[in-house]
Amino acid sequence: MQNTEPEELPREIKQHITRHQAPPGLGRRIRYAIDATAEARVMDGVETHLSPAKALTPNDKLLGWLSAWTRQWLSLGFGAACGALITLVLLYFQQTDHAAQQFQQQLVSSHVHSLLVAHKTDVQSSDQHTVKPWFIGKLDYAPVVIDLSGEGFPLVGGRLDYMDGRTIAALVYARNQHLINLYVWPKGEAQKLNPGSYAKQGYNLMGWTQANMQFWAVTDASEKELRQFMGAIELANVAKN
Amino acid sequence: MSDFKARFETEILPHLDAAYSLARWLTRDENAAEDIVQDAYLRAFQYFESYDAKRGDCASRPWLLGIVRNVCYSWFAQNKRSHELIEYAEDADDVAHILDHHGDAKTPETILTQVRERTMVNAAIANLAIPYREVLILRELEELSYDDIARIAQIPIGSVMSRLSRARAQLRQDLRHIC
Repeated sequence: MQNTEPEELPREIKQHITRHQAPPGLGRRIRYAIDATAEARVMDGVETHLSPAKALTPNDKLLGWLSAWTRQWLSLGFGAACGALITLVLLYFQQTDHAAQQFQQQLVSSHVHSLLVAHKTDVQSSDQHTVKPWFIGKLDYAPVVIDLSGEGFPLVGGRLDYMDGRTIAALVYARNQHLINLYVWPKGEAQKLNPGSYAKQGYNLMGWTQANMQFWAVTDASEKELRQFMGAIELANVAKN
Repeated sequence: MSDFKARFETEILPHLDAAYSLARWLTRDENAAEDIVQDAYLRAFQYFESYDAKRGDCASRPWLLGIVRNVCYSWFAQNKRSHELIEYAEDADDVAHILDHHGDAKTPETILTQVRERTMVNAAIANLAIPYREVLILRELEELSYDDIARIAQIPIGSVMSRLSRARAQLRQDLRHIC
């Protein structure tokens, strides 16, 4: 290489250059975020080839037992057909179950991520008349945006998020020290997860449908508070229509 | 899974200070640097598997710093600070230019304490244009090879050399009273 080494900096200068130290807590937050991501990776099946010894799910076990049973007791042709049918049915349920798990994980990951990355909101306002128009042109539907300060759930703002293969509206509400992410999008064809209340990784999830929209709320507030929140949203929606 | 994550944690997490320092130097913004480092780590975690499989001679620290650097550049773009980059993006190495810097070069001898020198050195570096600053920091603080720096900054080695040389000359000029 014909390049010559650039002239070095004098020691007087070099010794003073500050190498900044990461603030305390940053490492911990990163670990935490990675744990959340790692969990999502497992759920997404990315990791399956890395961990061949992954524990069998109850469905796997059942599947193995049933296919052994059919092989032993039924004649070859009929048995194979039966086995295939049963396998298909079971696979269908397994996939549905997997999709539901994955969907729950998606909700929790999105919620955790919104708390971590200082990206809770794209539009920060407690005024529903500011937040709602912000979504216009960004989504192919108009989410219902209601401030619930009166019910103890002040609106913090909104942002776009990505869920279930589409861009959707995420509304952020506060409850004392807790945040609630409310994901709203049109009720699709098949729903990945039945509406209802779920708990995952210490977060409470609540899903319901109303006026052709589906709502999923995720929070670290209590389930009771989440129910109140759902009630408040439902009431406000009814009042609005 | 835990094995994969454990390897990431033992190999990549220890570079946290280097990552933060680079982000802090590039953005000159404490809060942004934290967000950027966290984002960079999440990306690194996603890419770690493919990096791990074919890393060759690319050590993990320059690999991570490359990601940090790219996240910083996305941040510049988002924060409409791209003018800082565009200004120097094209043939910047060949264009003679004078970097703006604090005009208070003639500091009385009496205040040349360690602390002040340090402040002045850091201010002078912070005043370098980003393409010069990044090369200087990667070389002087992280002591990376020209190869690694060229990879991270996505420029030929010759440009690394000329930018480094120019950055050092600028610092010597700005800080001549303390040398």
